[in-house]
Amino acid sequence: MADQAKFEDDAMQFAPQLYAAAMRMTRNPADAEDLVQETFLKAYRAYHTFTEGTNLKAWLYRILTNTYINRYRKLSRRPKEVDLGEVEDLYLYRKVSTAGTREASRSAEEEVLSGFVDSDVKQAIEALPENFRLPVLLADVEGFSYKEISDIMDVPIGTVMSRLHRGRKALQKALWEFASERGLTGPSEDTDE
Amino acid sequence: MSSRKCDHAVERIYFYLDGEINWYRRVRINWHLRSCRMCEGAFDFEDKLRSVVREKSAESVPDELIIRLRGILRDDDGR
Repeated sequence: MADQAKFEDDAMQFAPQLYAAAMRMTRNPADAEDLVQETFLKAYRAYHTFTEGTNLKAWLYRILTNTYINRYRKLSRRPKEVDLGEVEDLYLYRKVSTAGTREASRSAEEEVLSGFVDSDVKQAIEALPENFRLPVLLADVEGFSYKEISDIMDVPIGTVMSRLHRGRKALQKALWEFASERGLTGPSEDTDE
Repeated sequence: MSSRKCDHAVERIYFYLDGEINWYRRVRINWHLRSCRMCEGAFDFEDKLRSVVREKSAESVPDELIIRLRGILRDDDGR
């Protein structure tokens, strides 16, 4: 049993990460702040049920995720459909590396990867339908294991893996669109005379 | 990416990067990556992409929020 007085010391370190996750979930700062606030209050009140020595970070994310789903999912109940019919595995890599020689493609890869700006990545994540967004966020941004994600989202591990798989494809597709729009992918447009 | 070994490695790329693969399979993939520059390139790209996603999606948490959280925890007596 965990001591409520210790809650602030133990949990506050996760506030920045929880806030970043809340931003990707709600897509705006005001709702993200509310969500984190509600999460902390719920966690504080339930802290006596937390088993000390187990994974506090995962426990907090579980509360965050549940609070988000209960409060905000109502607004967009019907999951958005994404057509991933033609999106193959390693979508982005294949797109980037098809051009030119091996050495040229290596530098094209570097160029694309280093060309993304924060808003590209944030928008690409936020554009994912919720079923995909949560697992991608929890795995690729937060580094949780499949088992932890399955506990946090309360879905079977197999479901976590298939949503992650499709979510990553959708993320890569969105990132490719940003890269194309911003001319990171075409032949270099040197205008040096 | 053409041989059966390549297919085998690429099919498991996410399990590998997610750390969700047993040591034996990991060792086999590591062997393959050392001898196949195509697959090595793909694994390296996916790994770097993930770092980019992680780094570029960070947020700086507003100071007021932290202050508010601390205040709420101190004031709350609804346990």
